[in-house]
Amino acid sequence: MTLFDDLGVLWRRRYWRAAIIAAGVATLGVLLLGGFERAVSAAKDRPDSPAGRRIETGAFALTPLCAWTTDLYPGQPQGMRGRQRFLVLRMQVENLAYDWLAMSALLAKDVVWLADGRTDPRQPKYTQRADDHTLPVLQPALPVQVDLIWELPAGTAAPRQPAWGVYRRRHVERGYLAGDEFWVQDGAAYRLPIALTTQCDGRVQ
Amino acid sequence: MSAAPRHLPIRWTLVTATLCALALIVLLRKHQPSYEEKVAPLTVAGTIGAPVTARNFEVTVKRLKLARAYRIDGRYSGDPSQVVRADGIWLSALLEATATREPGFLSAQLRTRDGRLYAASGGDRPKLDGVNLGETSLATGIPASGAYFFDVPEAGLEGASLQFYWGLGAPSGLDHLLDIDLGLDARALAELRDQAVPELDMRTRTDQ
Amino acid sequence: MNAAARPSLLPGWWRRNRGWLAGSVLLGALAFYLPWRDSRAERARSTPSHRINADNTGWSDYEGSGWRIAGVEFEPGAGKAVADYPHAPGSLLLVHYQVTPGREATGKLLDRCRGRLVDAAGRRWPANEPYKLGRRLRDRGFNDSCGTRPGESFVRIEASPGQAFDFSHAFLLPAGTRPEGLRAEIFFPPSTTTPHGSYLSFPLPPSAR
Repeated sequence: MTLFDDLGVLWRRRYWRAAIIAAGVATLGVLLLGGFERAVSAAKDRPDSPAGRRIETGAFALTPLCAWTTDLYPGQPQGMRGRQRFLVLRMQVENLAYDWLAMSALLAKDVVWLADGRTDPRQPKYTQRADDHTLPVLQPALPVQVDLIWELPAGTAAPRQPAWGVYRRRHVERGYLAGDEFWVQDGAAYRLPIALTTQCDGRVQ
Repeated sequence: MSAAPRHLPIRWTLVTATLCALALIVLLRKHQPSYEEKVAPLTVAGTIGAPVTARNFEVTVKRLKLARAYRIDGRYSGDPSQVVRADGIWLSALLEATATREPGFLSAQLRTRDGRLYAASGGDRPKLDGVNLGETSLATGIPASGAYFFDVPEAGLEGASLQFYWGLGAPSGLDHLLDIDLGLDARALAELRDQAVPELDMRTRTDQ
Repeated sequence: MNAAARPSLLPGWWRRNRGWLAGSVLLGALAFYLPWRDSRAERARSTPSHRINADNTGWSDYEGSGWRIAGVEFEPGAGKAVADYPHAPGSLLLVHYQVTPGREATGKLLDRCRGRLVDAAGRRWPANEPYKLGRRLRDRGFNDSCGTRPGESFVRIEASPGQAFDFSHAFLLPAGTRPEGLRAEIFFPPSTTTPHGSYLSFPLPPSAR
């Protein structure tokens, strides 16, 4: 191969020899550190977690309670009934961070509906408190019941075995560039298959 | 890395100076204050009962009250009254606040002893127009008498302090942050708890 | 570049390197001056920062139109239930203006004007705010827009060039604040004026009462 024909000539030069040895050592190092292995697929199956079990994602401790489909999501004025079908998931959320800032926005990014049961994550359209339908402010260490609402595309039937996905979130004390602190999403954590019910067994409706 | 003396001589002083500079850069970057420390708000301390002045507002916290739920008017006239229940317990801080330079919003947060921050509940929970000063625009020089409401876990009340800042959202960097020590030691807290009611009636309409 | 390993500050080094040293000094100074100048320009574009002093004799020119204060009314104790919260009665101050639009000033352009009242200590009161104050002004029959006024069947009448046009600004002052020493100001969006951020400032004439 022409690629290696000149190797003999180059090998005799001192600096080229050093460069070739360095390249060989680097390749060996990458091989030993696992750089040539197949990358882990992001859609690898995550463990399932049933309704009622509390799971921790780093930033939140979530307990999915129940889910249902409806023509009118909780708190919507009666006049809007029938225009759109909604899928509602009620969960008990506890903020494990030390302040409330931006945590409700992060919750809406971390809990997704897997539209075909395993993939196709979709973020909720609305999040609100379960009791008075106002915007949830997730205070630290204070569990609160939150409704997450998705719009079901018109014409599709309600999913028979809906599943949701939850992402993990990691706290960074000092970011590298600016030294600021933030929460960064850290990969999928759990899949929540929750059967649809007609009502949420006696809890706040 | 030694070269024959015919070629480029290595200036060891230069090499050492470069390595020292690199080490110094790494050390300084590691130990520089974090972003939050660089733009931290300036704290002004205060106590209950005395007026505390910030750059463009003034607050006098008069007293505190605990309640588990509030009964408020229904949204429209004719609606039955609603009960707004706290996830933890409601702490209300009755105070007088004045915007001293320009109109705007005054926000509040509660800081517990272990450093957790609790935002004051917004103007819509509990919806008490004129009493709940959350998200209410203050007019210049016109004092407002009302309260901020905090939904906090009971365990966090001891040793908590109240913080006030201008604007909505988070405390702005490099602006004043009033920190008012609530004096909530075990005895004061026990007194407050004795006076707490399971449901405080805050209705203003008489037709419910 | 076979420089000997000796200290580089040989005699004559400054003279030999004066070219690039002078250039560095100039560029270094610009590196501090230009960002400061940009920040000032940015501030001028975003807040009113260039004051044009008006007096109360005749018309003052601002942005191509002539402005004057026609009258001032001060009503101590009349500011009841105006803010968004219950408060002790404050005072109402009404400033009646007249504007003679220039040739290029249309009613819509003039309507962008905002007003405020400023005292010597730097306190500021925006005109016709809170919302209830603006409504009270309109209920009393005054016009609160600088370039148009309500006409019949929801069509607004525009100010015509060359003719004086009336409008008023109302302010809620705290009880005990006197109008003497206050300045009434008018400004357009700071990025639209020439120069950026210019505003017109009148000393408040004595009130009619």
